[in-house]
Amino acid sequence: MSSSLTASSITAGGLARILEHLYVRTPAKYRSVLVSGVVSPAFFLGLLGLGLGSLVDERQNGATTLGTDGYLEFIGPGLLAISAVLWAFGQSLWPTAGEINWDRTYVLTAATPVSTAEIAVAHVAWIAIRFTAAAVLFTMVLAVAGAVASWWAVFAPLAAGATALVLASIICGFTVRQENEDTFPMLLRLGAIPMFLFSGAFFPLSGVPAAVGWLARVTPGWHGVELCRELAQGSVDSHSFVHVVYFVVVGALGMVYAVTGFQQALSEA
Amino acid sequence: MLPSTASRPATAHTGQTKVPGLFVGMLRVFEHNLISYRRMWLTLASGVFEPLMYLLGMGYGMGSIIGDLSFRGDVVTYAAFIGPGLMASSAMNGTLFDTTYNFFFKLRESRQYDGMLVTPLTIGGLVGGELSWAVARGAIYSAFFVLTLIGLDLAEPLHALSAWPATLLTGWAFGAVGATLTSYARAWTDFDIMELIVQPMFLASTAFFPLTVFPEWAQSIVWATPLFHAVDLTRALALGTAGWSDLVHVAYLVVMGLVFGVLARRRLSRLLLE
Repeated sequence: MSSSLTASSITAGGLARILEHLYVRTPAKYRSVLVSGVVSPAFFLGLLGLGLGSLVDERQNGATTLGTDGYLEFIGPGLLAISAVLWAFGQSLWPTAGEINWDRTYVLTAATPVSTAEIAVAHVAWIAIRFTAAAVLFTMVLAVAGAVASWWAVFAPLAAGATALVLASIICGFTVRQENEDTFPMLLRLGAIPMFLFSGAFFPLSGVPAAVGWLARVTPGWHGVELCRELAQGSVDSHSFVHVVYFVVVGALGMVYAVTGFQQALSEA
Repeated sequence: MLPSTASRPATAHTGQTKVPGLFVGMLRVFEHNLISYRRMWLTLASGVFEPLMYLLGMGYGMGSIIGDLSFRGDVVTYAAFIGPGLMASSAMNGTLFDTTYNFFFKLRESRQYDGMLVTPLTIGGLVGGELSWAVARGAIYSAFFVLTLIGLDLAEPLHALSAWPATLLTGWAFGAVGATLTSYARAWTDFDIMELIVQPMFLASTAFFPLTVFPEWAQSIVWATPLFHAVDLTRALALGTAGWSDLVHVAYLVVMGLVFGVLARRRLSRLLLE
Protein backbone atom coordinates (compact mmCIF):
# COMPACT_ATOMS: atom_id res chain seq x y z
CA MET A 1 0.00 0.00 0.00
CA SER A 2 1.23 3.44 -0.85
CA SER A 3 0.08 4.83 2.48
CA SER A 4 2.54 2.61 4.35
CA LEU A 5 5.44 4.54 2.81
CA THR A 6 4.06 7.87 3.96
CA ALA A 7 2.19 6.69 7.04
CA SER A 8 3.86 9.11 9.41
CA SER A 9 4.55 12.12 7.18
CA ILE A 10 2.41 15.15 7.83
CA THR A 11 2.10 17.85 5.20
CA ALA A 12 -0.03 20.96 5.19
CA GLY A 13 -1.57 19.89 1.90
CA GLY A 14 -2.65 16.53 3.26
CA LEU A 15 -4.14 18.06 6.39
CA ALA A 16 -5.98 20.69 4.36
CA ARG A 17 -7.45 18.04 2.10
CA ILE A 18 -8.85 15.99 5.01
CA LEU A 19 -10.14 19.08 6.80
CA GLU A 20 -11.86 20.20 3.63
CA HIS A 21 -13.44 16.76 3.35
CA LEU A 22 -14.60 16.92 6.99
CA TYR A 23 -15.93 20.43 6.48
CA VAL A 24 -17.97 19.48 3.44
CA ARG A 25 -19.21 16.22 4.86
CA THR A 26 -20.11 16.91 8.52
CA PRO A 27 -23.90 16.94 8.71
CA ALA A 28 -25.54 19.74 10.74
CA LYS A 29 -22.03 21.06 11.32
CA TYR A 30 -23.09 24.11 13.26
CA ARG A 31 -25.99 22.81 15.29
CA SER A 32 -24.27 20.40 17.65
CA VAL A 33 -21.32 22.67 18.35
CA LEU A 34 -23.59 25.66 18.92
CA VAL A 35 -25.63 23.66 21.43
CA SER A 36 -22.55 22.36 23.28
CA GLY A 37 -20.43 25.49 23.00
CA VAL A 38 -22.93 28.33 23.25
CA VAL A 39 -26.52 27.43 24.18
CA SER A 40 -25.80 24.95 26.95
CA PRO A 41 -23.14 27.06 28.73
CA ALA A 42 -25.45 30.06 28.33
CA PHE A 43 -28.13 28.17 30.32
CA PHE A 44 -25.57 27.52 33.05
CA LEU A 45 -24.44 31.15 32.93
CA GLY A 46 -27.98 32.48 33.20
CA LEU A 47 -29.32 30.11 35.82
CA LEU A 48 -26.29 29.27 37.93
CA GLY A 49 -24.27 32.46 37.26
CA LEU A 50 -27.15 34.74 38.13
CA GLY A 51 -29.36 32.52 40.34
CA LEU A 52 -26.78 30.69 42.39
CA GLY A 53 -24.50 33.71 41.96
CA SER A 54 -26.85 35.97 43.88
CA LEU A 55 -26.56 33.59 46.84
CA VAL A 56 -22.79 33.25 46.56
CA ASP A 57 -22.25 37.01 46.28
CA GLU A 58 -24.48 37.59 49.31
CA ARG A 59 -22.50 35.05 51.38
CA GLN A 60 -19.04 35.90 50.08
CA ASN A 61 -19.61 39.65 50.33
CA GLY A 62 -16.12 41.01 49.80
CA ALA A 63 -14.23 37.80 50.66
CA THR A 64 -11.33 36.89 48.40
CA THR A 65 -12.01 33.14 48.11
CA LEU A 66 -13.14 33.41 44.50
CA GLY A 67 -10.44 35.80 43.33
CA THR A 68 -12.96 37.64 41.15
CA ASP A 69 -15.36 40.51 41.83
CA GLY A 70 -18.40 38.28 41.78
CA TYR A 71 -19.62 34.78 41.01
CA LEU A 72 -20.64 35.63 37.45
CA GLU A 73 -17.04 36.61 36.62
CA PHE A 74 -15.90 33.40 38.33
CA ILE A 75 -18.18 30.89 36.63
CA GLY A 76 -18.34 32.55 33.17
CA PRO A 77 -14.83 31.77 31.85
CA GLY A 78 -14.97 28.44 33.72
CA LEU A 79 -18.02 27.44 31.68
CA LEU A 80 -16.14 28.30 28.49
CA ALA A 81 -13.40 25.83 29.40
CA ILE A 82 -15.54 22.98 30.70
CA SER A 83 -17.83 23.06 27.72
CA ALA A 84 -14.62 22.35 25.79
CA VAL A 85 -14.10 19.35 28.06
CA LEU A 86 -17.60 17.99 27.44
CA TRP A 87 -17.35 18.65 23.70
CA ALA A 88 -14.01 16.82 23.48
CA PHE A 89 -15.42 13.79 25.31
CA GLY A 90 -18.60 13.87 23.21
CA GLN A 91 -16.79 14.01 19.88
CA SER A 92 -13.88 11.70 20.66
CA LEU A 93 -15.83 8.59 21.70
CA TRP A 94 -18.77 7.36 19.60
CA PRO A 95 -18.37 9.73 16.61
CA THR A 96 -14.65 8.88 16.36
CA ALA A 97 -15.23 5.14 16.67
CA GLY A 98 -17.89 5.50 13.99
CA GLU A 99 -15.45 6.90 11.45
CA ILE A 100 -13.32 3.79 11.75
CA ASN A 101 -15.67 0.95 12.70
CA TRP A 102 -19.08 1.76 11.25
CA ASP A 103 -18.96 4.33 8.45
CA ARG A 104 -15.37 3.26 7.78
CA THR A 105 -14.75 6.60 6.09
CA TYR A 106 -11.16 6.75 7.28
CA VAL A 107 -10.49 3.23 6.07
CA LEU A 108 -11.22 4.55 2.58
CA THR A 109 -9.34 7.81 3.20
CA ALA A 110 -6.27 5.82 4.20
CA ALA A 111 -6.24 4.18 0.77
CA THR A 112 -5.67 7.58 -0.87
CA PRO A 113 -2.28 9.35 -0.90
CA VAL A 114 -2.91 11.07 2.48
CA SER A 115 -1.09 9.50 5.41
CA THR A 116 -2.73 7.96 8.49
CA ALA A 117 -0.85 10.50 10.61
CA GLU A 118 -2.52 13.28 8.65
CA ILE A 119 -5.90 11.66 9.17
CA ALA A 120 -5.33 11.48 12.93
CA VAL A 121 -4.13 15.08 13.27
CA ALA A 122 -6.87 16.47 11.03
CA HIS A 123 -9.53 14.49 12.88
CA VAL A 124 -8.46 15.87 16.26
CA ALA A 125 -7.97 19.37 14.85
CA TRP A 126 -11.46 19.36 13.33
CA ILE A 127 -12.94 18.71 16.78
CA ALA A 128 -10.99 21.66 18.21
CA ILE A 129 -11.58 24.04 15.28
CA ARG A 130 -15.36 23.70 15.48
CA PHE A 131 -15.27 24.30 19.20
CA THR A 132 -13.04 27.35 18.89
CA ALA A 133 -15.55 28.92 16.51
CA ALA A 134 -18.35 28.39 19.03
CA ALA A 135 -16.08 29.65 21.82
CA VAL A 136 -15.71 33.00 20.01
CA LEU A 137 -19.49 33.38 20.20
CA PHE A 138 -19.70 32.34 23.84
CA THR A 139 -16.90 34.77 24.77
CA MET A 140 -19.05 37.52 23.24
CA VAL A 141 -21.97 36.29 25.37
CA LEU A 142 -19.69 36.51 28.41
CA ALA A 143 -18.68 40.05 27.49
CA VAL A 144 -22.29 41.14 27.07
CA ALA A 145 -23.22 39.48 30.38
CA GLY A 146 -20.44 41.42 32.10
CA ALA A 147 -18.33 38.38 32.98
CA VAL A 148 -15.23 39.72 31.19
CA ALA A 149 -12.91 42.41 32.57
CA SER A 150 -10.07 42.65 30.06
CA TRP A 151 -9.17 42.69 26.38
CA TRP A 152 -7.01 39.64 27.06
CA ALA A 153 -10.34 37.82 26.77
CA VAL A 154 -9.96 37.80 22.97
CA PHE A 155 -7.49 34.93 23.53
CA ALA A 156 -9.93 32.98 25.72
CA PRO A 157 -11.49 31.10 22.74
CA LEU A 158 -7.99 29.90 21.81
CA ALA A 159 -7.39 28.68 25.36
CA ALA A 160 -10.72 26.84 25.28
CA GLY A 161 -9.87 25.45 21.83
CA ALA A 162 -6.52 24.23 23.18
CA THR A 163 -8.33 22.49 26.04
CA ALA A 164 -10.52 20.70 23.50
CA LEU A 165 -7.52 19.85 21.31
CA VAL A 166 -5.40 18.35 24.08
CA LEU A 167 -8.24 16.35 25.54
CA ALA A 168 -9.53 15.19 22.14
CA SER A 169 -6.06 13.92 21.15
CA ILE A 170 -5.85 11.78 24.30
CA ILE A 171 -9.44 10.46 24.13
CA CYS A 172 -9.28 9.77 20.37
CA GLY A 173 -6.05 7.84 21.00
CA PHE A 174 -7.96 5.81 23.59
CA THR A 175 -11.04 5.32 21.38
CA VAL A 176 -9.22 3.96 18.34
CA ARG A 177 -7.51 1.36 20.54
CA GLN A 178 -10.82 -0.06 21.82
CA GLU A 179 -12.33 -3.25 20.43
CA ASN A 180 -15.88 -2.00 21.02
CA GLU A 181 -17.80 0.81 22.70
CA ASP A 182 -18.40 -0.94 26.02
CA THR A 183 -15.78 1.15 27.83
CA PHE A 184 -17.19 4.49 26.65
CA PRO A 185 -19.95 5.01 29.25
CA MET A 186 -17.42 4.26 31.99
CA LEU A 187 -15.00 6.84 30.60
CA LEU A 188 -17.78 9.43 30.60
CA ARG A 189 -18.69 8.65 34.18
CA LEU A 190 -15.17 8.34 35.55
CA GLY A 191 -13.56 10.97 33.31
CA ALA A 192 -15.96 13.54 31.94
CA ILE A 193 -18.26 13.99 34.95
CA PRO A 194 -15.50 14.41 37.57
CA MET A 195 -13.55 16.73 35.26
CA PHE A 196 -16.71 18.76 34.64
CA LEU A 197 -17.40 19.13 38.36
CA PHE A 198 -13.88 19.36 39.81
CA SER A 199 -12.00 21.57 37.35
CA GLY A 200 -12.71 24.61 39.45
CA ALA A 201 -15.32 26.07 37.10
CA PHE A 202 -18.14 26.10 39.67
CA PHE A 203 -16.23 26.48 42.93
CA PRO A 204 -12.61 27.05 43.95
CA LEU A 205 -10.65 23.86 44.64
CA SER A 206 -9.95 25.16 48.15
CA GLY A 207 -13.42 23.77 48.93
CA VAL A 208 -12.52 20.13 48.24
CA PRO A 209 -10.12 17.68 49.98
CA ALA A 210 -6.48 18.42 49.06
CA ALA A 211 -6.00 15.08 47.29
CA VAL A 212 -8.96 15.73 44.98
CA GLY A 213 -7.58 19.21 44.32
CA TRP A 214 -4.16 17.90 43.28
CA LEU A 215 -5.69 15.24 41.10
CA ALA A 216 -7.76 17.93 39.38
CA ARG A 217 -4.66 20.07 38.78
CA VAL A 218 -3.09 17.54 36.41
CA THR A 219 -6.14 17.52 34.09
CA PRO A 220 -6.52 19.67 30.96
CA GLY A 221 -9.88 20.79 32.38
CA TRP A 222 -8.33 22.62 35.33
CA HIS A 223 -5.61 24.26 33.20
CA GLY A 224 -8.28 25.35 30.72
CA VAL A 225 -10.51 26.83 33.42
CA GLU A 226 -7.62 28.69 35.05
CA LEU A 227 -6.22 30.04 31.78
CA CYS A 228 -9.64 31.16 30.51
CA ARG A 229 -10.32 32.90 33.82
CA GLU A 230 -6.92 34.62 33.87
CA LEU A 231 -7.51 35.87 30.32
CA ALA A 232 -11.07 37.04 31.03
CA GLN A 233 -9.88 38.82 34.18
CA GLY A 234 -6.74 40.21 32.56
CA SER A 235 -4.67 38.72 35.41
CA VAL A 236 -2.17 37.17 33.02
CA ASP A 237 1.12 36.24 34.73
CA SER A 238 3.67 33.43 35.05
CA HIS A 239 0.85 31.04 36.02
CA SER A 240 -0.71 31.58 32.62
CA PHE A 241 2.61 30.66 31.03
CA VAL A 242 2.62 27.37 32.96
CA HIS A 243 -0.79 26.53 31.50
CA VAL A 244 0.47 27.25 27.98
CA VAL A 245 3.52 25.02 28.52
CA TYR A 246 1.22 22.29 29.89
CA PHE A 247 -0.96 22.46 26.77
CA VAL A 248 2.04 22.31 24.43
CA VAL A 249 3.70 19.37 26.19
CA VAL A 250 0.59 17.30 26.95
CA GLY A 251 -0.87 18.19 23.55
CA ALA A 252 2.24 16.90 21.78
CA LEU A 253 2.18 13.66 23.78
CA GLY A 254 -1.55 13.30 23.17
CA MET A 255 -1.09 13.79 19.45
CA VAL A 256 1.59 11.08 19.31
CA TYR A 257 -0.80 8.78 21.19
CA ALA A 258 -3.60 9.59 18.72
CA VAL A 259 -1.40 9.18 15.61
CA THR A 260 0.02 5.80 16.70
CA GLY A 261 -3.50 4.68 17.62
CA PHE A 262 -4.91 5.64 14.21
CA GLN A 263 -2.00 3.92 12.45
CA GLN A 264 -2.65 0.74 14.41
CA ALA A 265 -6.43 0.85 13.88
CA LEU A 266 -6.29 1.68 10.17
CA SER A 267 -3.65 -0.91 9.36
CA GLU A 268 -5.86 -3.57 10.93
CA ALA A 269 -9.15 -2.34 9.47
CA MET B 1 -36.39 -9.88 9.88
CA LEU B 2 -38.42 -9.64 6.71
CA PRO B 3 -40.47 -6.49 6.35
CA SER B 4 -43.65 -8.50 5.92
CA THR B 5 -43.41 -9.87 9.45
CA ALA B 6 -42.96 -6.41 10.89
CA SER B 7 -46.67 -5.77 11.07
CA ARG B 8 -48.44 -7.97 13.51
CA PRO B 9 -50.68 -10.73 12.17
CA ALA B 10 -53.70 -9.67 14.17
CA THR B 11 -55.68 -12.83 13.86
CA ALA B 12 -52.98 -15.41 13.27
CA HIS B 13 -52.63 -16.74 16.77
CA THR B 14 -55.90 -15.94 18.46
CA GLY B 15 -57.59 -19.24 18.98
CA GLN B 16 -54.36 -21.22 19.08
CA THR B 17 -52.39 -19.22 21.64
CA LYS B 18 -53.67 -17.80 24.87
CA VAL B 19 -53.13 -14.02 24.95
CA PRO B 20 -51.52 -13.21 28.29
CA GLY B 21 -53.16 -10.70 30.59
CA LEU B 22 -51.71 -7.23 30.92
CA PHE B 23 -49.81 -8.05 34.08
CA VAL B 24 -48.31 -11.28 32.79
CA GLY B 25 -47.23 -9.50 29.60
CA MET B 26 -45.58 -6.74 31.59
CA LEU B 27 -43.80 -9.33 33.69
CA ARG B 28 -42.44 -11.09 30.58
CA VAL B 29 -41.08 -7.83 29.16
CA PHE B 30 -39.57 -6.99 32.52
CA GLU B 31 -37.93 -10.41 32.69
CA HIS B 32 -36.57 -9.97 29.18
CA ASN B 33 -34.88 -6.74 30.21
CA LEU B 34 -33.53 -8.33 33.37
CA ILE B 35 -31.87 -11.08 31.34
CA SER B 36 -30.48 -8.82 28.65
CA TYR B 37 -29.03 -6.42 31.21
CA ARG B 38 -27.39 -9.19 33.23
CA ARG B 39 -24.14 -8.78 31.32
CA MET B 40 -24.22 -5.04 31.72
CA TRP B 41 -24.24 -4.83 35.50
CA LEU B 42 -21.08 -2.74 35.45
CA THR B 43 -22.76 -0.11 33.28
CA LEU B 44 -25.76 -0.19 35.60
CA ALA B 45 -23.58 0.05 38.70
CA SER B 46 -21.60 2.98 37.36
CA GLY B 47 -24.91 4.86 36.98
CA VAL B 48 -24.83 5.32 40.75
CA PHE B 49 -21.58 7.16 40.39
CA GLU B 50 -22.79 10.23 38.50
CA PRO B 51 -25.34 11.63 40.99
CA LEU B 52 -22.91 10.81 43.80
CA MET B 53 -20.22 12.91 42.09
CA TYR B 54 -22.70 15.76 41.72
CA LEU B 55 -23.60 15.50 45.38
CA LEU B 56 -20.00 15.51 46.56
CA GLY B 57 -18.83 18.17 44.11
CA MET B 58 -21.70 20.57 44.25
CA GLY B 59 -22.77 19.77 47.82
CA TYR B 60 -19.40 20.22 49.48
CA GLY B 61 -17.49 22.25 46.88
CA MET B 62 -20.29 24.71 46.22
CA GLY B 63 -21.25 24.44 49.88
CA SER B 64 -17.83 25.84 50.81
CA ILE B 65 -18.75 29.17 49.22
CA ILE B 66 -22.48 29.18 50.00
CA GLY B 67 -22.78 27.84 53.53
CA ASP B 68 -26.19 27.00 54.95
CA LEU B 69 -29.60 27.60 53.37
CA SER B 70 -33.04 27.71 54.82
CA PHE B 71 -35.87 25.49 53.55
CA ARG B 72 -39.36 26.13 54.97
CA GLY B 73 -37.81 27.71 58.04
CA ASP B 74 -35.27 24.94 58.72
CA VAL B 75 -31.62 25.88 58.29
CA VAL B 76 -29.69 23.07 56.57
CA THR B 77 -26.22 22.68 55.06
CA TYR B 78 -25.92 23.21 51.31
CA ALA B 79 -25.24 19.49 50.78
CA ALA B 80 -28.41 18.58 52.71
CA PHE B 81 -30.31 21.10 50.60
CA ILE B 82 -29.22 19.85 47.18
CA GLY B 83 -29.06 16.12 48.08
CA PRO B 84 -32.82 15.49 47.72
CA GLY B 85 -32.93 17.86 44.72
CA LEU B 86 -30.30 15.80 42.91
CA MET B 87 -32.08 12.61 43.93
CA ALA B 88 -35.27 13.81 42.24
CA SER B 89 -33.38 15.05 39.17
CA SER B 90 -31.56 11.77 38.74
CA ALA B 91 -34.88 9.90 39.06
CA MET B 92 -36.16 12.04 36.19
CA ASN B 93 -33.02 11.63 34.09
CA GLY B 94 -32.88 7.87 34.55
CA THR B 95 -36.32 7.03 33.23
CA LEU B 96 -36.51 9.90 30.77
CA PHE B 97 -33.34 8.77 29.00
CA ASP B 98 -34.30 5.13 29.22
CA THR B 99 -37.69 5.74 27.63
CA THR B 100 -36.31 7.98 24.92
CA TYR B 101 -32.89 6.84 23.70
CA ASN B 102 -33.28 3.17 24.64
CA PHE B 103 -36.93 2.97 23.52
CA PHE B 104 -36.14 4.71 20.27
CA PHE B 105 -33.33 2.28 19.56
CA LYS B 106 -35.63 -0.71 20.09
CA LEU B 107 -38.47 0.94 18.17
CA ARG B 108 -36.58 2.18 15.09
CA GLU B 109 -33.09 0.71 14.93
CA SER B 110 -33.15 -2.84 16.25
CA ARG B 111 -36.91 -3.11 15.64
CA GLN B 112 -37.08 -5.31 18.71
CA TYR B 113 -40.67 -4.28 19.47
CA ASP B 114 -41.89 -5.56 16.10
CA GLY B 115 -40.44 -8.93 16.97
CA MET B 116 -41.88 -8.93 20.47
CA LEU B 117 -45.36 -8.10 19.16
CA VAL B 118 -45.36 -11.11 16.85
CA THR B 119 -45.71 -13.12 20.05
CA PRO B 120 -49.01 -13.03 21.97
CA LEU B 121 -47.74 -9.99 23.90
CA THR B 122 -50.17 -7.04 23.88
CA ILE B 123 -49.18 -3.42 23.36
CA GLY B 124 -50.26 -2.63 26.93
CA GLY B 125 -47.98 -5.36 28.24
CA LEU B 126 -45.12 -4.06 26.13
CA VAL B 127 -45.41 -0.41 27.16
CA GLY B 128 -46.20 -1.30 30.78
CA GLY B 129 -43.33 -3.78 30.99
CA GLU B 130 -40.78 -1.41 29.46
CA LEU B 131 -41.92 1.44 31.67
CA SER B 132 -41.83 -0.66 34.84
CA TRP B 133 -38.31 -1.82 33.96
CA ALA B 134 -37.24 1.81 33.58
CA VAL B 135 -38.85 2.70 36.91
CA ALA B 136 -37.27 -0.32 38.63
CA ARG B 137 -33.81 0.67 37.44
CA GLY B 138 -34.43 4.18 38.71
CA ALA B 139 -35.65 2.73 42.02
CA ILE B 140 -32.33 0.97 42.53
CA TYR B 141 -30.41 4.19 41.86
CA SER B 142 -32.71 6.12 44.19
CA ALA B 143 -32.21 3.52 46.90
CA PHE B 144 -28.44 4.10 46.68
CA PHE B 145 -29.13 7.80 46.89
CA VAL B 146 -31.22 7.28 50.05
CA LEU B 147 -28.37 5.29 51.60
CA THR B 148 -25.91 8.03 50.64
CA LEU B 149 -28.04 10.73 52.26
CA ILE B 150 -28.21 8.64 55.43
CA GLY B 151 -24.52 7.69 55.31
CA LEU B 152 -23.38 11.30 54.89
CA ASP B 153 -25.81 12.37 57.61
CA LEU B 154 -27.65 14.67 55.22
CA ALA B 155 -31.10 13.42 56.29
CA GLU B 156 -32.74 11.50 59.13
CA PRO B 157 -32.92 7.81 58.11
CA LEU B 158 -36.73 7.63 58.25
CA HIS B 159 -37.16 10.90 56.41
CA ALA B 160 -34.73 9.82 53.71
CA LEU B 161 -36.63 6.55 53.32
CA SER B 162 -39.93 8.41 53.03
CA ALA B 163 -38.53 10.31 50.04
CA TRP B 164 -37.87 7.08 48.14
CA PRO B 165 -41.48 6.57 46.90
CA ALA B 166 -41.48 10.17 45.66
CA THR B 167 -38.61 9.32 43.31
CA LEU B 168 -40.54 6.32 41.99
CA LEU B 169 -43.49 8.57 41.25
CA THR B 170 -41.12 11.03 39.57
CA GLY B 171 -39.49 8.29 37.50
CA TRP B 172 -42.82 6.86 36.38
CA ALA B 173 -44.30 10.26 35.45
CA PHE B 174 -41.25 11.29 33.39
CA GLY B 175 -41.01 7.81 31.87
CA ALA B 176 -44.52 8.22 30.48
CA VAL B 177 -43.52 11.58 28.98
CA GLY B 178 -40.38 10.02 27.49
CA ALA B 179 -42.32 7.16 25.88
CA THR B 180 -44.70 9.69 24.33
CA LEU B 181 -41.83 11.79 22.98
CA THR B 182 -40.26 8.65 21.50
CA SER B 183 -43.48 7.90 19.63
CA TYR B 184 -43.29 11.33 17.98
CA ALA B 185 -39.53 11.33 17.30
CA ARG B 186 -38.50 10.79 13.68
CA ALA B 187 -34.72 10.80 14.14
CA TRP B 188 -32.10 10.75 16.90
CA THR B 189 -31.54 14.46 16.48
CA ASP B 190 -35.15 15.15 17.56
CA PHE B 191 -34.05 14.37 21.10
CA ASP B 192 -31.69 17.37 21.00
CA ILE B 193 -34.81 19.47 21.41
CA MET B 194 -35.76 17.50 24.50
CA GLU B 195 -32.31 18.08 25.98
CA LEU B 196 -32.61 21.79 25.30
CA ILE B 197 -35.75 21.80 27.46
CA VAL B 198 -34.54 19.40 30.14
CA GLN B 199 -31.26 21.20 30.85
CA PRO B 200 -32.66 24.64 31.78
CA MET B 201 -35.50 22.90 33.64
CA PHE B 202 -32.89 20.99 35.68
CA LEU B 203 -30.87 24.13 36.44
CA ALA B 204 -33.98 26.13 37.37
CA SER B 205 -35.79 23.32 39.22
CA THR B 206 -34.65 24.62 42.65
CA ALA B 207 -32.35 21.59 42.91
CA PHE B 208 -29.46 24.04 43.32
CA PHE B 209 -31.05 27.10 44.92
CA PRO B 210 -34.39 28.05 46.50
CA LEU B 211 -37.31 29.39 44.47
CA THR B 212 -37.10 32.75 46.26
CA VAL B 213 -33.89 33.57 44.37
CA PHE B 214 -35.99 34.08 41.22
CA PRO B 215 -37.94 37.27 40.53
CA GLU B 216 -41.70 36.73 40.94
CA TRP B 217 -42.53 36.37 37.25
CA ALA B 218 -39.91 33.65 36.92
CA GLN B 219 -41.10 31.86 40.05
CA SER B 220 -44.44 31.06 38.43
CA ILE B 221 -42.70 29.68 35.34
CA VAL B 222 -40.52 27.43 37.49
CA TRP B 223 -43.59 26.37 39.50
CA ALA B 224 -45.26 25.20 36.30
CA THR B 225 -42.44 22.78 35.41
CA PRO B 226 -42.80 19.15 36.53
CA LEU B 227 -39.26 18.84 37.89
CA PHE B 228 -39.91 21.63 40.40
CA HIS B 229 -42.74 19.56 41.91
CA ALA B 230 -40.56 16.45 42.03
CA VAL B 231 -37.68 18.34 43.69
CA ASP B 232 -39.85 20.17 46.21
CA LEU B 233 -41.73 17.01 47.17
CA THR B 234 -38.57 14.92 47.56
CA ARG B 235 -36.85 17.64 49.57
CA ALA B 236 -39.84 18.20 51.87
CA LEU B 237 -39.96 14.47 52.64
CA ALA B 238 -36.20 14.05 53.06
CA LEU B 239 -35.91 17.06 55.35
CA GLY B 240 -39.01 16.05 57.29
CA THR B 241 -41.02 19.17 56.56
CA ALA B 242 -43.69 17.65 54.33
CA GLY B 243 -47.30 18.69 54.88
CA TRP B 244 -50.71 18.30 53.27
CA SER B 245 -49.97 21.07 50.78
CA ASP B 246 -47.34 18.81 49.21
CA LEU B 247 -50.21 16.72 47.83
CA VAL B 248 -50.31 19.35 45.07
CA HIS B 249 -46.93 18.03 43.92
CA VAL B 250 -48.17 14.44 44.07
CA ALA B 251 -51.30 15.35 42.11
CA TYR B 252 -49.28 17.17 39.43
CA LEU B 253 -47.02 14.15 38.89
CA VAL B 254 -49.85 11.59 38.99
CA VAL B 255 -51.87 13.50 36.40
CA MET B 256 -48.81 13.93 34.19
CA GLY B 257 -48.00 10.22 34.38
CA LEU B 258 -51.58 9.15 33.62
CA VAL B 259 -52.12 11.55 30.74
CA PHE B 260 -48.83 10.75 29.05
CA GLY B 261 -49.09 7.03 29.88
CA VAL B 262 -52.40 6.81 28.01
CA LEU B 263 -51.05 8.94 25.17
CA ALA B 264 -47.90 6.80 24.85
CA ARG B 265 -49.92 3.60 24.75
CA ARG B 266 -52.22 4.98 22.07
CA ARG B 267 -49.41 6.43 19.96
CA LEU B 268 -47.26 3.32 20.16
CA SER B 269 -50.11 0.99 19.33
CA ARG B 270 -50.80 3.09 16.24
CA LEU B 271 -47.11 2.97 15.28
CA LEU B 272 -46.56 -0.71 15.91
CA LEU B 273 -49.85 -2.35 15.07
CA GLU B 274 -51.03 -0.42 12.02
